[in-house]
Amino acid sequence: MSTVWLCVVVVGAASILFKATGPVLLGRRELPTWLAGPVGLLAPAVLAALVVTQSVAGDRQIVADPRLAGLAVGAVAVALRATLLVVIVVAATTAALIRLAL
Amino acid sequence: MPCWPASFLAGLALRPPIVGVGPLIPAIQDDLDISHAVAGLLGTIPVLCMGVFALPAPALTRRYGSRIAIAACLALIGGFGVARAAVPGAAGVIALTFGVGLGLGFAQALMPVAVKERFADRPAFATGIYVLGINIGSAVSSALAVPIADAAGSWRWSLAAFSIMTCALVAAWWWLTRREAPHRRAEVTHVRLPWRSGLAWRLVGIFGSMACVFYGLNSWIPDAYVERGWSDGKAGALLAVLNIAALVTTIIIPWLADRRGSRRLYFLVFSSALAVSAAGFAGLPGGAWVWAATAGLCTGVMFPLVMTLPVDVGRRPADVGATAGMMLGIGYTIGAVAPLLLGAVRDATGTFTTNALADRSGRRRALHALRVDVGRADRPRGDRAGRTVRARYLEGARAIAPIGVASFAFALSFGVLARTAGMGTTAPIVMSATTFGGSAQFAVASLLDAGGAAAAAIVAALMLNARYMPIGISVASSFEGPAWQRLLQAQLIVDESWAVALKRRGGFDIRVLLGAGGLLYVTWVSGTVVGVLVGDAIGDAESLGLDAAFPALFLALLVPQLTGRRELDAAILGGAIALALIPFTPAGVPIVAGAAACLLGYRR
Repeated sequence: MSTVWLCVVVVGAASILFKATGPVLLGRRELPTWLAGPVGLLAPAVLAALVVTQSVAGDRQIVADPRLAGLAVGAVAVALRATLLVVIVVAATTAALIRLAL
Repeated sequence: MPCWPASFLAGLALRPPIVGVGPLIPAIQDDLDISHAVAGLLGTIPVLCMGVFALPAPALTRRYGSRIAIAACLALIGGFGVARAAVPGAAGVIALTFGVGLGLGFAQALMPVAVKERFADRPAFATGIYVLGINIGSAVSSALAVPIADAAGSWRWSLAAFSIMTCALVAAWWWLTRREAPHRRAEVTHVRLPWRSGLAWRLVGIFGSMACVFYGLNSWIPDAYVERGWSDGKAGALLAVLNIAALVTTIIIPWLADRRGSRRLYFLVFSSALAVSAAGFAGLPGGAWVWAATAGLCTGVMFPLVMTLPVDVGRRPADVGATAGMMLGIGYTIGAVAPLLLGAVRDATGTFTTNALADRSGRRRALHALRVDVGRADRPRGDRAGRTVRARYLEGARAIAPIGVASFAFALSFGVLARTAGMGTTAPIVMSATTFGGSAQFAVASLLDAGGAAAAAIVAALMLNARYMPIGISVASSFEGPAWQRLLQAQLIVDESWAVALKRRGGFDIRVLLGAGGLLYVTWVSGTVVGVLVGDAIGDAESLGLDAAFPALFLALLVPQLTGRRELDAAILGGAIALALIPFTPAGVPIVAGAAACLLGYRR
């Protein structure tokens, strides 16, 4: 098998397993109590990690580029209780305009 | 008071920004130094916009009335058009094309509402009037684009001329409709898009297949004949015959159709004739002029009559708007993709003949699928629980729609990157369909591109996607049905679909996840297909700022989660861990390690 297809098959199979583990094995059973606490905090922890990596992560370095400005304007929109659509559009527009100007 | 000239003039403004750009593309490409694929976006974006923005259009007319709404849309087309003609640089031209498309998409979907409000007794003729405007606008702009550019010295002057004409049309529309009674909001109740109506889906099917045939013919007929040894000019003339023949029937037949005969009769006659001419192009290519004229006469009738159907089936203008929005929204999306797919068939088979055949059998298959769909949509009517369930799926899809656009663009860049990394065409598409996780796929493509070993690429991708195991566990109890079904549904878990499905005060809505994940899956896989086929449009997603859409989305979804002290602590710790690890670990690890901040919640 070529390198390309090896990667596609292994990564594809692993991703399917990662995603399916919980829903298939646990099913409708309630989570055990020792797991319920951490799982309840998974959303804020992962979302915060995603905000950080998606805005400043470069290739093994922290970078400040137009994404960060987009996020900042998006944050203002969030603070003003704008809808999701508005937040996304102002963030993207800000980054695009800055790139256009640079 | 009926006002025919006003709707004719509005129709005039709806095509020059698309059709008039076509002949200018070589000049634009030279001037801006952009590739074929990027230049192609100038044509694709407005057509896609006509699909996307047709869906929200009914809300606009409900709020402001069709007079104001259409004036505003035409002003958008003209205003963004002038700006597009003036802005330097390719990114600006392409970004402003979205603004033009916004106006076009809204306006086109509003026209049936305007017809219903003003000419309810002669809908087909009234539709024919503005479609005549559309056709004349197409013909004139395609004929004048190059001469104006030559005379003035730049393609920008052609676009500017069309846009200034559009601004003049805004004034004309406003003046001609000045006697109309002002719109009264109170009379109009909220009308939803008729997702559950079998009839509306049938209209979608009719419009979609018509759009496929029309755009398919327009895009590929000249190429097919150039391949047979015709000159460019002669092949172009063939297209001109098709479009001029369409002008002849556009008004006459709809005028007749308001007086005698059922819609069914006209559709049967003219769609059969259209099928004959398509078969003619494939089977007897020598008769090109005859087939072009026949196809033109038929499309000239089909377009206005199909556009009349929402007017026929809607009781109130608001119903017409909703049905037309759905018909155009989905139909144009199909129409925008069709030429691309036909091109792919051409590339795969090496001939256009199969194309015409594929076109017909594809249409039959689409109609068959449609029938199945209609049957399914008809069944659970009146079931309240069923309705709210469906509303949930839609809520998810709607919430994620803007991110769907970004995801399409990134899938496109993935397709391009994978192609340049030597992954071929099939492997990237298979990967998008199975891995369905942007960051992991980009990691594999970029590592292979850099000459990395398979092991490095695989390890990087696994670390990136490992977060889906804890995320899957956290939402496991929401999944229902047998194990195989849960396995399939779980594949729709991605960061974005999971995040929008989180409820404000804890808890999780699986239907929102499935609706949002389903939409993202479609945009992701189709974006990859387009990227792999079209080639070198790389970098566009970033120059449009779409990479900034993702952190903003996650921030907007994070804030409502911060309901207490512990949630805030977990978020701060998670973000801090991720930030601290970025310089030292491969991508993916910071997210998984940040997720470990949830252990703050551990209790015995």
